[in-house]
Amino acid sequence: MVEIKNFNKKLTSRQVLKNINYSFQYGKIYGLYGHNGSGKTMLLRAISGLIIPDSGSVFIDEKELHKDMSFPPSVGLVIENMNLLPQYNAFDNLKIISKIKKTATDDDITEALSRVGLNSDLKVKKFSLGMKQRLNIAQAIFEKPKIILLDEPTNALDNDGVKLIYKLLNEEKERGALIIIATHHKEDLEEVCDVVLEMSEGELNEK
Amino acid sequence: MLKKNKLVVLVTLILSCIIQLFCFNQAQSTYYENGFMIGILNEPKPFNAIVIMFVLQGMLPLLLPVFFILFFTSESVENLTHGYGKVLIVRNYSKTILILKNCLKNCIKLICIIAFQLLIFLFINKNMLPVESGMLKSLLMYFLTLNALILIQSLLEIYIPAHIVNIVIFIYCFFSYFLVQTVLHTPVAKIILFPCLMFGMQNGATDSENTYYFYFAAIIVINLLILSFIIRKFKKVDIF
Repeated sequence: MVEIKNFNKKLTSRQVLKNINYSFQYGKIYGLYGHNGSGKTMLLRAISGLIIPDSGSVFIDEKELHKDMSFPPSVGLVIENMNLLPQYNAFDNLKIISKIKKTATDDDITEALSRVGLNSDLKVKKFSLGMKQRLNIAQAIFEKPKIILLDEPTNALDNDGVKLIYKLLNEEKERGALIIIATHHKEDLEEVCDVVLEMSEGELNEK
Repeated sequence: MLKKNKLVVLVTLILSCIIQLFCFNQAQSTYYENGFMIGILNEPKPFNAIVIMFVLQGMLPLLLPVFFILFFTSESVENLTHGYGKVLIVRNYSKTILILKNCLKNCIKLICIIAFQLLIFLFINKNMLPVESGMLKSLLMYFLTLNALILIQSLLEIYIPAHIVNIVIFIYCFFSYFLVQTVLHTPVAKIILFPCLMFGMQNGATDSENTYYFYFAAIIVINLLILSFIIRKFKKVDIF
């Protein structure tokens, strides 16, 4: 379980997350809906350990982030501006990343790439935006993490791509992963999510 | 960026070492036969145009390889906290271990570069001064001072873009030598402006054992202080 307690974060003079309290359960897909600047991405950053709270805390399986560990032990993340290495192909990119945790095999990488519909030997610099997005999603799932955090995962994808990603997310849910999707397309979330939450001015409300 | 092409940086580094040796050989002093032992002379000088010219002439070949070494180690922290770095950083468990590993990697890089510099010196200048005259002491001080500069580079990269950090450190190195040679001569000034201790003339490796061990202890403390700062600040940094 991922539990957020009284989480507050202020950037310069703006309160970007206001007293967030929520418990996310494994085996469910959560949707975060809100306008640009409402705090969706910031909440994903908070859960992934990328930002430090001004007050409050995030507990992952009862262990506190930034106290017992700096980052969740098993997390897949797609967030803005995390371009993979342009000089390598998709497989080599994931192979390089896999050397950090050493939990994924070559077969896991091949399987993840085929699940996102990416069967290309091209270097990433020659990828279209949609292919880059598919690779980002493959990067988030190939190590079979317990928590998957996706910021606007359907950006740049065509209809077939969107369907493929939703199918993949349902499979990950069946595996027992906790998935949180942040988007400003509410209609997308209702199709795939078990729980839809609304972010507004840094506050989190259940719909 | 130039840094992306490590080969270009490496070739430039070799060239800068050769230029440095060429300049030393022009000076025709026995000290100059050991590239790590030389340095601008330790005596205070009057502050006038001739002295400034003399100091600048001596400083540029000294600091040239240093600038390229700092260029070689730059962006190591920036690459962790920006762009692709986010993919890597969330796969780690502890920020402390991550930053310590990063500092260790830079330290190993520095050892390799210094070994490489030494090889070039030995290859070109076969009459290099023997170990008993203080070459090892000079080498150790050169390594520790450069390591402290690289640690400052890492610390600043947490907050400031890498290219600006490089400019700031280059200016700091330049002025530390210039000021110590011209207007500031006290031990406290030399510790605050510690890049001036990189070579043997200022840190005592060529003349005084006591002076050497005093500055040696100081530079160790500086290294440890900056390292503890980096760990503390890196743990608190937000990554966007």
